[in-house]
Amino acid sequence: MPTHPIRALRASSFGAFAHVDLEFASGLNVIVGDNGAGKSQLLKVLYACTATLEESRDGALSKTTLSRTLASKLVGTFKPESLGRLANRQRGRARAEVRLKLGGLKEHLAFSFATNSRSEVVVASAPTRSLEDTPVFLPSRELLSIYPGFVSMYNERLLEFDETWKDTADLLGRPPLRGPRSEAARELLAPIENLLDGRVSEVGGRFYLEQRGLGNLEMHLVAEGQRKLAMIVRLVQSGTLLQRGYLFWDEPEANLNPSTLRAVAKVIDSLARSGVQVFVATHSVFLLRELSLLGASSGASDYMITGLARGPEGVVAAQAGSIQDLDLSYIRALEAEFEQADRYLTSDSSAI
Amino acid sequence: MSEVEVEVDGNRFVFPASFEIEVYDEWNFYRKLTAAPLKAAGCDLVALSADTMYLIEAKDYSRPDSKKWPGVGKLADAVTVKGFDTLAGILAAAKSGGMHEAFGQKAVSRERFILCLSVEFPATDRLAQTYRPALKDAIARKAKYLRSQPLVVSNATSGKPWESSRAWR
Repeated sequence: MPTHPIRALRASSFGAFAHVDLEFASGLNVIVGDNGAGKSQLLKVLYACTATLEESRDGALSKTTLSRTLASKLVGTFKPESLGRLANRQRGRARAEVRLKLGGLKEHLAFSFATNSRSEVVVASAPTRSLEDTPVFLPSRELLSIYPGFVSMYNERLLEFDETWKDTADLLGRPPLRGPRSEAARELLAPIENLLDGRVSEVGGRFYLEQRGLGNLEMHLVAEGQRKLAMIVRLVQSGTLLQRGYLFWDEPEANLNPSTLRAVAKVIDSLARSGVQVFVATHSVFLLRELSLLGASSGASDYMITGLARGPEGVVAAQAGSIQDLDLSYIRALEAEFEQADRYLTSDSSAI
Repeated sequence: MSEVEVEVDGNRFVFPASFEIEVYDEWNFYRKLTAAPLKAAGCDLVALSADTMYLIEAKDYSRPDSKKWPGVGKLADAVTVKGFDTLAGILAAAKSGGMHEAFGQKAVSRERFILCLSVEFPATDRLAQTYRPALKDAIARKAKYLRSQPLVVSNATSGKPWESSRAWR
């Protein structure tokens, strides 16, 4: 697992959140909630904090420096017009406060900013060491097909893509490992490459899937689900997500059919077991069931499900160790499925 | 030894000969529990395999004369209450000194128990069958303190420990 796994997050008046006080598992963390309940925001604030702490060299972890680098990362990750837009004004409060606790680090990362903040946060405390592990943010669509030229264009032009796209594209471009760790990567990747029925390669800045009998297929010719799995292959090959690291994956289910999603669930589960701290935001009851089945079959306990729901004063959260223990009001997708079942089963048109 | 055959709610259940079956809701012992103040509910069948006690509730909403579909939530409530009450009834029977004592003692000695709903939906097309996982989720949520994953099956489900089929026309 990461040297410093994310243990807890407390956030007040940040984005959609009124106040949340969350703890996380070192293995797999699943985040559920309705549209607009803040699932992506939760992933992004965790990503922005860990990415800032990873990108800062040890000597640069002063509060003064962090106040700028953290603010810049938050703006790059969320893309508001100004930093202060991320502080919500509900309940008459106009100051966002965030506190992140990392395992093995005595000092928390704690910062705040006001609605009129533009480019700096106030850092109340900060770890004295930078993070050794790399955070990875996977947006809901794959990036391999747009990779060629994307990073250089992002660096040269004003694009509306948020910074996670560029960061992740950078990581996808990292070359594969050599030496003993590459053997560990091959072992972890074998089942994924079986699912892909091929190997992922990079030639001249473009990615290909080398499929048996078909040769090199350009990523544009490969199904979206396979491209998503291929991103994981690249990140494991380079050691970024090999037995360590943080993975934040927003709606892995997007554009995938259930059989491919089952494969994705297996990959998520195997990454978490191999030592990556995984955070997945999802609407998919199918994915929740697959992850639950995978966890139950092995008796895994390093699992936390976080439900987010909009309340009158902002988003509130609840957490549980299993889907059955989380109140249904936080799992709108499941509630909607129950409602649909009743409508479908009693509809005349369904009695075919 | 021959297979054990039982008819419940218009459906025929055929269990392997190694199973012991009781039509629990026909026990006089159970009938007494249904009276005030307990007003206990009960599953239709209690089936014992070598290591498992199955508490089976059978519902067929596809029959023309069946009750109206109660909804996922209410059905899950009803099955859960029946499961809890049947467990309590079986435990009481095991200590009763009456005619069901021996069966009750065998039942409570099993390593595990599984609450099972055998359900025929009011809609019989293939898409309707996709709602069985939803029903299982709903029951699992209600019955979470049992710490035993429920089983939700239909006549068409393959791989269950028994066979069942429609007996009505």
